[in-house]
Amino acid sequence: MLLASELGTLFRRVRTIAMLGALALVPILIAVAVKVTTAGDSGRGPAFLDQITQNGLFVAFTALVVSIPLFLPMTVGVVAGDTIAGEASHGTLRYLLVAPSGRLRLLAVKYAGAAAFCLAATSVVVVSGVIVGALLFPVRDVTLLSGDTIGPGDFAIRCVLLAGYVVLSLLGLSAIGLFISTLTSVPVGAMAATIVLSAVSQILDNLPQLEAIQPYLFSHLWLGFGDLLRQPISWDSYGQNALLQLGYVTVFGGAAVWRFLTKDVLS
Amino acid sequence: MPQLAIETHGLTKRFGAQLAVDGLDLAVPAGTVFGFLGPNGSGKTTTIRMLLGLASSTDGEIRMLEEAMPSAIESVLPRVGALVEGPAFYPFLSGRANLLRLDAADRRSPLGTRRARVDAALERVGLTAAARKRAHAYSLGMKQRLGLANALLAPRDLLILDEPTNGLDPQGTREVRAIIRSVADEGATVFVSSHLLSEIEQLCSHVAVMSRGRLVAQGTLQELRAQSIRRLVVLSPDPDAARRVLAGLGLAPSVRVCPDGGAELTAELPDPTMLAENATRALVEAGVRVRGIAVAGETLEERFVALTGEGFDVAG
Amino acid sequence: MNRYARWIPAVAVPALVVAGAIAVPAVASAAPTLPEKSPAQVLAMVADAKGVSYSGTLEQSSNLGLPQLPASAASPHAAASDSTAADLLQLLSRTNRIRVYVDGETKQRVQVLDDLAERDVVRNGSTVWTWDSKGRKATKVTLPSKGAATKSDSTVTPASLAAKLIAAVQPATQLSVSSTASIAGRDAYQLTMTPKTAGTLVRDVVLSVDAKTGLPLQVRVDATGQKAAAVTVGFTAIDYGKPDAKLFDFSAPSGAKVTTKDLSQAKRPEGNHGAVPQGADAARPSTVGTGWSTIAVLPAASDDRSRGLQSQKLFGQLTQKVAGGSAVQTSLVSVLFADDGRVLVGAVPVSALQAAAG
Repeated sequence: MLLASELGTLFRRVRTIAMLGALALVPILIAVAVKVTTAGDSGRGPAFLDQITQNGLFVAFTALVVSIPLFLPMTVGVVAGDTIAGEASHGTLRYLLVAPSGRLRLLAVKYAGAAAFCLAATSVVVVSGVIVGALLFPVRDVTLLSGDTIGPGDFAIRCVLLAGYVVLSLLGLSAIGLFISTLTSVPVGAMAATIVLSAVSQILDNLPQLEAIQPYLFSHLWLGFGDLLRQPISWDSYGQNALLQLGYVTVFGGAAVWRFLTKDVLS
Repeated sequence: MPQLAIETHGLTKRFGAQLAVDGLDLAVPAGTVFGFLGPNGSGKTTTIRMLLGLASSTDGEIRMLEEAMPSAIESVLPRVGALVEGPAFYPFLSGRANLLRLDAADRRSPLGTRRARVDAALERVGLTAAARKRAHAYSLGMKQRLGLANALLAPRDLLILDEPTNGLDPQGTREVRAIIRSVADEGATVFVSSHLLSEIEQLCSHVAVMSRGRLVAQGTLQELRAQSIRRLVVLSPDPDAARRVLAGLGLAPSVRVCPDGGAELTAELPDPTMLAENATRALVEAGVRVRGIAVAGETLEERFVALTGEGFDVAG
Repeated sequence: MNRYARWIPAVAVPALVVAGAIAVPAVASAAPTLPEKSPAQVLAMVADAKGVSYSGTLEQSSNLGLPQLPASAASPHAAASDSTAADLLQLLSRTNRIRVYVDGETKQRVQVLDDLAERDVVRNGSTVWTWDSKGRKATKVTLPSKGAATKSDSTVTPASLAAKLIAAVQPATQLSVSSTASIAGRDAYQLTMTPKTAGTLVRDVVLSVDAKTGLPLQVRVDATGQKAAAVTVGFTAIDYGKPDAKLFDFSAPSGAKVTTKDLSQAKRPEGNHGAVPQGADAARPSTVGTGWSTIAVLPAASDDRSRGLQSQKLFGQLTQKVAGGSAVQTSLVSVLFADDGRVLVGAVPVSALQAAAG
């Protein structure tokens, strides 16, 4: 019941709706830009961009690729960083705890809310991409990375798997945000720290000197969803990513629990 | 021994090197309206946070509603309504939505009666008309009343109210007092903190006084009044003679010369059995002319200033 | 103390995760016990393992001591002239994932799994497709129908083939079946080939062979003076089931650039092992030395291809000036671009190449 209230509060909030709206704009902007400049087939640009003109179903995919490094971590950072710090800054944290919500339960509900936002954000990009792609471009069979061709129905299943992969990828970041959020009562600080960490992780992932630690960075497998576009699907990165994110959720979730259960709520 | 709604033993809170609350032994009898008085920064809010399990104590024990805190927090807090350090709400939600959310936070509160209880609480604090307005549009007084409504969402055995009339106009203050009295009439214990003596005097039957983290007095208001020092005030045109007589009685009067040539002599009466009439007879027998004689009781305010070493905002 | 006790899980759980991440891989690689076999028996198993159906994932990693370049330098956005060299460099310096699907001898598919890209080779009978998702390029090759050459080989038994192989490598190589290992969850024999000469950079080559099927599961090349393996190619997962037949049923997707090559009617030049590009004879390499320390000497190219190569930025980053030319020294292989245009390559130190160049 607290979860229902949390979701209601989160998704009725203007800020949340605005962020989801901005994410919905990503595929629309991509599709319109490609449509307007469609005259010259440059063959350059991000992967798949040139395939959009041939197949509208690629709009959703391209939008996800574009959103993963920045837009999704940014919005997730805002929501995850706000979880506890936001309540603390409103002063509502003390009233929730006095209700009493139970500290562990509140933390769990807050994390579930952040995870629900990850799902909503990813779904918004995919659904908006599919709709605008179908409106502006032809919809036909999809060529996979392996060169094999599948029908739109099979592609829809892969899109769902893809969205699941992206949501999974964001769970570790959400746990980090939750932990940082228990450290402060300044939500903007927690949000910024979470977003900066996601950027730092991606930068470290690109420095060859740090190859030894790269497999343990939470963003290491963010772009590994290409494996879902092979024939047959390669589940390796899905499984590895699940394990990696589970590790982050456990470590930072544990740290958040430890911190929040012992914290004096003075705001 | 009456039942105690709140009981602490040696309750202590230390922030680094600073002792915010030092060895507090509170005893709040059940069914009373209990005033928790102290200047700002004397440790009242920190004590309330510890009572409600928001902050951990460095040392000491807390029992609330006959159960140990914070280990029994899940069974105690549903019976406690609280207003802690001012009201706080989600500014983007309506007053009503705020209450619905805070009620949902309590796992034990029944969903079936939630809307009815929220509406009743809003009605009780007079916010029914503004229930659908967003909380950020509320005046401070409205927020204060909404906070009170939150504390009254369910039938409570104990209300802990931190500065409940802060920021209210005189009309709002009267209304809040009426609400607190009505809750007390229903049998609940009300624990009200305030830095305003007048607030406590008008509402409470019992009082505890905090100063710099320590409890300096505790008891009924009458007990505290009885402890206060009485003074003998003599108006006489013969101040020197009067002073000699009073000194002969063992008093140490201070003399203030009035512009008309007379003087006002003031002396503390150390012993309650020492009656003012003895002084009157002695003055008359010594031929001292007396314009007026009176026994002045110390005001509660003066008493608390003496206890805490600080002044109170009497006017608020 | 009760208040502290409830925090124990919050501390213990992360500790367990970290401990698990370290301990589990260590436990998984316990050595199995298998009946002993000689090198010849192991090689016979490999030769006998034809017609096996399986699918699996391979990982290829190199540790050649090449300079590390940022990923952007090896991206397709780099200057076109650099891209081929960069691709090669990427293959050598990065860990590559490869999937293979094999259904007997006539149906195979190999997929090189790149980030958001893939290169495929699909063979179905006499048709071979290659596919590169980056350029959406496909090539269809029709193979010659099986000629007499392969037919005549069929009389060779696995055992005799193994014996021939051993006879060929024996003079220069010490063979041993050293220890048994577990590769991709399969018990395996490890055949270690150690060069008898000290003049090579190769310390040993270890071939791991599935103890049940005889399929080579891993090849590892160790270099002298380096603890980590120089090159490793091996299965990380393998499944001996028959792959889905649809996987071999490849045709170029719409919109792809398709090139067709028909080799079925191509004349096979005498003594040649397939189609060799024209003009190759002019630059036929010669060799110096024997066995592991053999050095290949490529004569100076008639065109100015090598000069073009030397003007590339990558070339400068990879090579260092030595007496008589520019050299690339890796832990396993050395290359000397001699000043006279010759290129010397061998699994030997650069000094040996300089000596060979004279």
